Amino acid sequence: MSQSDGHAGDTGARAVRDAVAARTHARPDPAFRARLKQEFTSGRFGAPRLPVPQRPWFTRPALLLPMAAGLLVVAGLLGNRGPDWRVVSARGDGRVHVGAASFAPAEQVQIAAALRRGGDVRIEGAVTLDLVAPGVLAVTLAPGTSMTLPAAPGRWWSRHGRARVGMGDAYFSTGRGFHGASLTVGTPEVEVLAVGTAFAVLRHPQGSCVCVMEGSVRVETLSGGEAVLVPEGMRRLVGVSGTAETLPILEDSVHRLHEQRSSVGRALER
Amino acid sequence: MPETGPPSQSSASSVPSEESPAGAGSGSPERELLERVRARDPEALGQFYERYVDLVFGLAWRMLGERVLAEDAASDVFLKVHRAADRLDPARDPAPWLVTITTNVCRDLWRSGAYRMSRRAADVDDPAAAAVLSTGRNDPEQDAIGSERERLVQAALLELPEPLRTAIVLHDYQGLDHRQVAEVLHIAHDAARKRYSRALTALEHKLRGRL
Repeated sequence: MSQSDGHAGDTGARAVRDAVAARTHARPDPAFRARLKQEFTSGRFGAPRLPVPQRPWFTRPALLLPMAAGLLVVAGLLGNRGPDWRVVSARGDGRVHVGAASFAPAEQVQIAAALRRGGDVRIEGAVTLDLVAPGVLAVTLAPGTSMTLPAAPGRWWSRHGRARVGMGDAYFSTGRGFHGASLTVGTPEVEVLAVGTAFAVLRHPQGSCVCVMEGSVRVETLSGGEAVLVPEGMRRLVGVSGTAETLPILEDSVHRLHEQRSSVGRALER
Repeated sequence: MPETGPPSQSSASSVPSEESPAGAGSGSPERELLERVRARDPEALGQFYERYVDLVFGLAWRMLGERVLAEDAASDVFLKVHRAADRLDPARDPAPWLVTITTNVCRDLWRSGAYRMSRRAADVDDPAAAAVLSTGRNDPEQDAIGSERERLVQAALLELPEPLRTAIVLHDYQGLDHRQVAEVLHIAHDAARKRYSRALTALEHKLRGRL
């Protein structure tokens, strides 16, 4: 033992030492003692009495990494998603058809809900529909227009949208959030590529007209011929037969685009 | 590996000494037993077990403060012994070797989540502990006082940090001197002495006025 080299203690320390030393020797439970002896002599040890605590399944490294990656992907997808379309105004008499659903112009909430991520829109009667994807893009559909509206461009990727005007007049204005994105608008005669501008695509039985109020757009005639860059203040007319010419923009188109800007301006710049 | 190469002592339950075990010389019964343990002879393993199980379990109990954990540690110790039996030196007393293995197993357990989790849920007033820790006196009053005293000491001991607790258990309960404690813990003699001194001071502080 160790009395000779022990703690040079006072009375308190000695009392503690005595108390520790005086403790009785613990002995194993007979059943445990017999079981362990059996295991030791046979060399066949059972499972440990105390189960090793398992980490919750969701904290295991093998799952943690894929889960984190999955969460990142989901967060990325959600974060990248562009704004939903909102109805700024729907005025005039008639109906607004979104896909197979039909709405009165006053049902703006329902129209917005049906159009949240784009879709086929058809204006019946004398309704003018102003839509905006806040901060990114505004579209005004004049009476009689039918078009396919894309979802607003993504924030970081999928930054290209594709719209199609089947008939009627559609006016497009881009906002600050559109920077770096692009929009292609197709008609049976032309394909218009815009990267930040205000322009109109007018589609009538005689052909298509692309009017540019701000910036410039590239207009490609589908029946052949080279793509043309249409600058601000000009319009490109392409007939169903493929004839094409570039002319100054009409006052009416300028007026309509101004009207759109004043209608959706605040929402577009947000 | 610190768990091999047993130093000395033949006593089953307490003090490993520096000397070779009594009768451990060539051809002694002790040596013969250890030779057969090396060969994993079941009968020899049984004798070996009976001789040392109280030492291992008692030490684990004092270290861990809970019967279930002590049983787990004892199982682990004998598993390690069985695996390392062929490396046993029949010329040396296995008791210090077992003390070292038990100490290491307890320290591993302390550092595991299992011990921390069990300590959170465990009560030092384990009724099974009271039953096993019977003093054997036929005096209920003295037994009650002794039991309360034991409970206080054990509770205070369990509150000590692991290195201090080990120093106290090995020195005061297991009866090792500072040099032997130093060997078991792989620290310098002076360090073992200082650690024990700090442990005693800490324990005294915790038990002041309660004994």
